[in-house]
Amino acid sequence: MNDRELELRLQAHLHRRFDDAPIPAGLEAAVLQGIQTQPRRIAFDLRPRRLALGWSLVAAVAVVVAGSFLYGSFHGPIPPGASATPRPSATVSTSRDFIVLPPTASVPSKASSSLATDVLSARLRALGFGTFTSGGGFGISFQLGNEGPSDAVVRRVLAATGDVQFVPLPPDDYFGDGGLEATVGQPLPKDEPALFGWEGIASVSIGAAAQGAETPGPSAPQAIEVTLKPAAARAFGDYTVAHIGEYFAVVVDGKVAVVPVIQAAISGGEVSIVGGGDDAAAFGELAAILVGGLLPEEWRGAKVPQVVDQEAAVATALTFYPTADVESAGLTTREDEHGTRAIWWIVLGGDLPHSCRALAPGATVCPAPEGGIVVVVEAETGVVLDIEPAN
Amino acid sequence: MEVAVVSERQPDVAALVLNRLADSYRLARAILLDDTEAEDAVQEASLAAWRRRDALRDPDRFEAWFERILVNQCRDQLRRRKRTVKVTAPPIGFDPADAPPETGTDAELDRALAALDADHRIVVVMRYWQDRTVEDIAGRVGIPAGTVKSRLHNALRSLRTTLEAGRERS
Repeated sequence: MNDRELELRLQAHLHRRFDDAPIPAGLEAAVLQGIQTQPRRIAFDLRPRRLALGWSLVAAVAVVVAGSFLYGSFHGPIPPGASATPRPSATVSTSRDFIVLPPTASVPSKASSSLATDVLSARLRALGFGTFTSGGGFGISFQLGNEGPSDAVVRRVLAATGDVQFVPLPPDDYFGDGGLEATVGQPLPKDEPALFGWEGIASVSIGAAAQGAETPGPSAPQAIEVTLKPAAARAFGDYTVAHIGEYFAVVVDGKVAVVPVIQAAISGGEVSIVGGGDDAAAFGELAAILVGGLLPEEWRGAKVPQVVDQEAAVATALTFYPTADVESAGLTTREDEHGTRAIWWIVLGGDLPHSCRALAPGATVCPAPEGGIVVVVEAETGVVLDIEPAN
Repeated sequence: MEVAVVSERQPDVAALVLNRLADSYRLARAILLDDTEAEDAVQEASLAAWRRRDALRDPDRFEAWFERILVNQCRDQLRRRKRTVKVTAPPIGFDPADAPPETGTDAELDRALAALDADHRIVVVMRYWQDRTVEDIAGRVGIPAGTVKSRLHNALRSLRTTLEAGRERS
């Protein structure tokens, strides 16, 4: 066979084999979801930007200034865990552990978990955590430094689904004779049609607030800058032209997050929600959630239980086996009749080669060899769930 | 008066990716010769394109820009694949001696293509399936035209050797 014959055969084969290959069902949706749940750009540019009024009009720039900066909790109380056992003595730790558990016992897909990790990492960066480590498995774990926002703030931001709706508030119903109020941290008192959600948003970033940002600092006003897609930009433009001075609600995970007032018509699709000041921390939570974006479907409704630190969990285990050596330990999850639990696994004793076994969906534990034991400690409470002889 | 930042409007990369999804999947499948890996490659390339969307100023350049990202993704996957071994159990009762010879079939050519390394397989697919010129391939892959020619020459020689070796075994 000469080169030309081989080339012709190759061409015919490749065209026959690949020209009409059917596209897998779900690929488009997977790609779209992947993109929609990507971290949004973060731009911490603290230089105040000044433009003359005339220029701003020429540029058709409109500004929305938040009328209310209050932002409440998105997350209800953590369900109580099992009954407490004696807690170990306090141990000074240089880091904090958080684990995000999927909402159901089913194991999320690798792609979904990867996307969720990206979303949550972007939220943590937006909260100011410059460096941290993350790990996969059935749950997604993060190890953060002790600096920065409190545990409660981190858990709320990690647990938020990130679903966002821009909802007009009819002036006849709200904040006046209508008697209805949009209360931050609460659902709206009645269903209101949203103008758009993530499907109308092209990107979200954080910047310095235009007004009052001459002295950047931790409490300086910040702006959540939302760039709308063309259809949403048109809808928002049409609405704001006719409703200057009225309020609308930004609803996150079904609860009112902020209630800005419309100060000007916004026809360019560039929306700036200004907040901060005394409520900078709460506004920062909202900004972090929006910058990170929407969690993939399999992770919506994720749980972020309080996790005791590793040293404390090990210390708890050692109260049962005070003379044992800790061979290894790690954070994982397990399903049982109480649902999904974040647990520390701790292998005590022994140093011979040993095999690993599945302890939970997506997680593996390597038990100690003969003579050793595995102690499973519920991370939320420090309760010892299981003490198993190694096989 | 101070105003909020106004950013330059970017091309809608998500829409552009979706418009080319079918072509992208088929290209990845032709390079990788594996449906599942092709899906992974398209998804990864789409996310990479989204993350780098600032680099795309002109939507007219999207096709070449995205194809380069996708081809690079396929190359990475092929190189990673070399470090792993897929083990699949044969059907119960399967006797290799009973397996029919596959000479002269598409499977024979598939095996020969699969034996090519990533760089050679990519130029073969772009030349003989996409029917691109050497210069076009060079621009899209980011290598000199002379390198494309030598890779095509070496790939054809390798394909012929593999096909002939298969015939001798049968």
